[in-house]
Order: sequence, then C-alpha cells, then structure tokens
Amino acid sequence: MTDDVALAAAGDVSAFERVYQTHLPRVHSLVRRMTGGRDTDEVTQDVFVRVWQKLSTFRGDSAFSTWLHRLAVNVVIERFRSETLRRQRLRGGDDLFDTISAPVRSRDFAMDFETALDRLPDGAREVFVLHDVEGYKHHEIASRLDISAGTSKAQLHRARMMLRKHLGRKESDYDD
Amino acid sequence: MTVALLSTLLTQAPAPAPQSRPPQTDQTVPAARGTRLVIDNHAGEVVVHGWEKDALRVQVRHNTRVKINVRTNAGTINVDSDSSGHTSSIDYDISAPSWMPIKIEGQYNYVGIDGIQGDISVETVRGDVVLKDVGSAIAKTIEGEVQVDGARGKLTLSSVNDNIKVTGARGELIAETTNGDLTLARMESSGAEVTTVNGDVTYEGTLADRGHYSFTNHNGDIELTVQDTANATFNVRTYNGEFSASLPVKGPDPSQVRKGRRVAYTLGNGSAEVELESFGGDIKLRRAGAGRTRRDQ
Amino acid sequence: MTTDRFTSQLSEYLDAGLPVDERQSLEAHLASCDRCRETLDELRAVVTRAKNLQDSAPVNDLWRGIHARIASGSITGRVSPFRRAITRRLSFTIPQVAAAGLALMILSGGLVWMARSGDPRADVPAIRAQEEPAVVPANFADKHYDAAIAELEQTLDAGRKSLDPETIRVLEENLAAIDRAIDQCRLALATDPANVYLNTHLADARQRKLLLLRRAAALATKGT
Repeated sequence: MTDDVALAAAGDVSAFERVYQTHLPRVHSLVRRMTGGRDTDEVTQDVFVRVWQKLSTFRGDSAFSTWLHRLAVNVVIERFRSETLRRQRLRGGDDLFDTISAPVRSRDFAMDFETALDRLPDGAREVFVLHDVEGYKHHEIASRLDISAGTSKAQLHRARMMLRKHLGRKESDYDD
Repeated sequence: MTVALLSTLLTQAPAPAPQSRPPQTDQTVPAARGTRLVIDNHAGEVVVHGWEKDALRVQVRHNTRVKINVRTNAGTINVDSDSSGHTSSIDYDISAPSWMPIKIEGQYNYVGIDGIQGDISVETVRGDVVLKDVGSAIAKTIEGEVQVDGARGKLTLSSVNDNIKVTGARGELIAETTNGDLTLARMESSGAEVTTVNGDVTYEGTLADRGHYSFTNHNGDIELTVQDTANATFNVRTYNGEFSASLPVKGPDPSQVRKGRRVAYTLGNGSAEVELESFGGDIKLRRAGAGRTRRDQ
Repeated sequence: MTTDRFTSQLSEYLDAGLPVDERQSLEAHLASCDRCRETLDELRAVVTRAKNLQDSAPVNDLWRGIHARIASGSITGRVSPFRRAITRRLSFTIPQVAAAGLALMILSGGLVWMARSGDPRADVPAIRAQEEPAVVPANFADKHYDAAIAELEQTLDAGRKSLDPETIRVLEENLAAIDRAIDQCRLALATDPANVYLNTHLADARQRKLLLLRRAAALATKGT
C-alpha cells in the first residue's frame, strides 16, 4: 500500500487528491469506454467518491490499482443495472445489430478505433471492454452483468467482428 | 460566415488551406495520448478535424505581423498568438487526434469541430459553434447559433440571441437560449433540460425509460414527437396556451390544461418523466409516424 | 459445416476456449479457407489493439465536484443533474433552503415564499399524485435581488467601452426580452396571485436575468 493510499484511507483529503490524479486517466478511460462516452465525467466522479467511501476496506492484498479498477467497474455496472433497457438489449440476439446505424463519416478517413468502440451497441461494447481491454474472464463478466457466459462470448465475437473494420490506416498512409 | 458554409467546410477531407490564401503557419507536433489542446483566439475561425495520428497539425492564415505559438507543457498543447498589439483575424485549420480533449476560447470566433471524441469546451461571444460526430461538449456563444450533429456524450449548449439545433444526440442534453428556437431531431437522449424565453422548442426522438426531460419557454410552442410505444409521464403546464395530443396518452380532457395548472398524462407505463411548460405558447404531443420519414431528411 | 459457422467460432478459438474436437475441426478448415484465416488475423489485430489502448484524462476539472462531495461528509447516492436543477428551482421558493447560503439563491430566492397548507390542486383530477404547496404572493420588492441587479448593471455600464456596440445591443435586447417576460408574469399574478406556476416561472425569469447580467458583466470586466 502506498503512502498516499494509506494516508487517504486515514482521511487525508490531500493524499486522496494525489491518488485521484494518479489513477484518473485510467479510470476515466475505463468509464468512457464502458459507457460509450455517456456521462463519463459524472460517473468518473461517482467512482472516486465510492473509492473514498470504501478506502478503509482496502486490505492491501492486491495491487491498489486492481482494487480501484474493480470498484470502478462495479460503479459503472450499478449504473447499467438501473437502466432496464440495457439489460434487455444485452440478452437480445441478432436484433442488437439492427439498432446500430452504420457509422457515417463525412470525412474521407477510417474511423478511429476508439470512436468505433464507442459506437458499438451497448452490450457488445461492455463485454468487449471488460474482456479484451480489462482482462476479465467470461464467467466473471457473466456474473457481473447478469448474463450467461454464452451471451458474453457471443457479444465479444460480435464486437470484434465490427471493430476489425476500424483498425485504422497504417502510419505510412499519412506520410506526406 | 453562415452555419451552412461552416458545415460545408467540415465535410471536406483534411486538406491544406485554400490555394487562394495559403497558411502562413503550418506546424505539426507529436501528441502523446492524454494530451489536451487549448486554443486561445481573439477573432477569426477555428476549425478542428479529428484524425488518427497521435500528432497535432496547426495550419494558420494570419497577418504577417502575427506570430503563432504552439507550446507543449505538462500534458497540454497551447495554441495562441502574439500580435504585438495589432488585432486582426486569425483562422486556424487544425488536425488533431480524435481522442484529444479540446478547449477553445475567444471573443469573435466561428468554431467548427468534427470527429473529436475527447471532451470539448468552446466559448465565444459572437460566432457560431458547429460540432459534428463528437463525444461530450460544452458550447457557449452569445450571438451565434449552436449546431450539433451526432454526439455520444453529454452536451451543455448555450446561446443568447440565436437558435440551437441538435440532431442525433445520445447523451444527456442541457440547452438554453433567450431569443431563439431549440430544435432537436433524431434524439436518443438519456435526459434533457431545454429552455428558451422566446422561441419554439421541438423534440423528435426517443425517451429513455426513467429518463428526466424538461422543456420550457415563455413565448413559443413546445412540440414533442415520439413513438406511441414510448413510456412516459408528461406533466403539462401552459398559462395562456393550449394543449393537444395525437399520442394515445391517458389523462384529463386537454381543456383542463389552463392557467398554469399542472396536469399529468401517461403513455405506456409512464417510466420517463417529461415536464412541458410554456407561459404563452401551445404544447403538443405528436405521434412519430411521420417522424420516421423526417429522419431520412 | 458452413463457413459462417466456422467464423462464429473464431473468437473462442483465439481465446483458446474451444473443446478439442471443435478446435481440430476449425484448424482443418482454416488450412483451406483464406477468408477465415484473414478474419482470424483481423480479430487477432483487434485484440492486440485493445490491449494497447492509451488512457486519457478528461478536459474538465472533476476534482472540485469530488472534493465537494467527500468534504461535505454527507455522501448520498448520485443525484441526476436534472433533479438537482428542478430541486434548485423549488429551493428558490422555500425559505428554509433559500436561507442556506448560495449567493445566487439568496439573491433570487427571496422572491417567492411558499408554505404547505392543504392541497391547492384539489379541483384538478390527476393521474399521479403531485404535491404542490400552497403559495402566498411573491414579494416583488426583494431588496437583495434588486441590489444584485443594480450592481451588475453598474458593472456592465462601466465596462461598456470594452465591448463592441453590436454585443452591447444584443445583450440589452435580450435583457429587455427577459424583462418583458417578467412583466407579463407580474401582470398575470396581479389577478391570480396564488398561482404556483406563475410564481415559479417568475422566479425562473428573474434568475435568468441575473445569470445573463452576470455573464455580461464578466465580459465587460474581462475586456477592461
């Protein structure tokens, strides 16, 4: 446990601010990717408020960043749980793809990978971020998102199939 | 410059400055992931196009006595100018990584941003703000139109003397103006707070379950067009106007909506909460059958 | 087995999640199917790209909001910004909350004083129960609000030269538009003083005027 984490756990707000600054980019990016860019700032704030609330329960038996990250995922998923429509869409089948409008770009260049990630259907994006970006296993994802492991695998495959079109141009394409 | 012309500018592929006026400054700097961009321009045009490179290209048309500064410091790239006391218009054409958070400030700027998913903050006094395919954004102007076409994140939009137009937004929306219409189309907002003093408010799109929406004005009509399969509770108030609905809502006779009385109408299971208030204007709830056609326009 | 069926197995294959017999069957297929091999390569590239995504911080300052919540010592569940906005409008009309302290609320919160007394909407059938407190007439002569307006108008006047005439004209025009809305509300309230909507709407209009004046004054000061 770092000094700042220990101090923050004891109630030192300045130390907590340092913890916040250190972990902000990772948390903000995780939140943004899981939510597709919706309410990112607000949910990020929720995460850190929750961290402050729960800091005294951190035992130091895992890396703090791992603990923080799991907590951030929990906060985002709790938000999902309050939106019934999302759960229905996760359990849905191929009709999920019908809700996606083909990315229309007014510019003559391939969409950035992260942009394409944001535009995935909610269910596919959530599973992809948890599995391929954050390293969760399917049984963990299934448990957290309240879906079956089979659905998690299917959603992951769909996300990857959609994203492969947006791997982006090679660097050499931009050479002047 | 009109909003239409600025929109046209944004649909062009990344290109060098027009031949008729080549840029006096053309500089490219690397941009590590996480870097922010801050542009301070007193007057002129700021157009930003998102691209995939982790680099920032700054092309500028300006008076020869002006020096453009592109400085990187502690995770921020600052772009501004030294004009030795001379005030002249400076036009920026910038290609930035699509992940880059961007802040633009100035007095008299026409601002156009396309394809940026990083958080955006734009403030100007006079000038239109046109955003396309963005994430979250804050856009404020006093005399100028705010136009957003395609946004996935939270939008906070403010004008004073002009209209606000949003199409295809998915996140929460806060939009206000004083003298101007608020026109929202193909919306999939998770919530909205929309207000004007003198102007019409029109919303066409979906209402998210458990979402909260508020549409208010003083003079002007308020018209909502949604599918009749939506789930919403509409709390309606107008003082001098009338209420009508072609949606199959359950509630009292529309004549009860008068003199500011708050009357509730339910559609489906009433999940979304929608406040509709006008002092002098009519309030209309429309079914989206014709709305489908409008989406293609 | 069709190519589509094999394609659907590619992700699991990549993650070493296929049972032995299915893996062997797929590998036999891959040996002769260029399209599937190409798709597999693309999926592998997606996974690699995902592992190498870079993190970025927000452009806005989030710490202030976090600090406010943890420093207050009263952390409750997240409140929707729209709930907060609606609560804020009602707060202008509840003297206990208006007395709490945000300068803006103090300045414009002395407008309307409301007290709960019975159901003022008994004559209106409602699908959902909606509680609204009864209202006593608004106090138009609010010293705090009037003083704030006067001060801001003075600041704007003093900084007039730093703003261009067109901007001044636009600001004055819009302030006048809000004043007209305020006057219309007052006129209506003269004959219907207990009207909840009118009182709330008037409070909103006055707050709007205050905010626009503050914005104008800030512009004028910036330019000096």
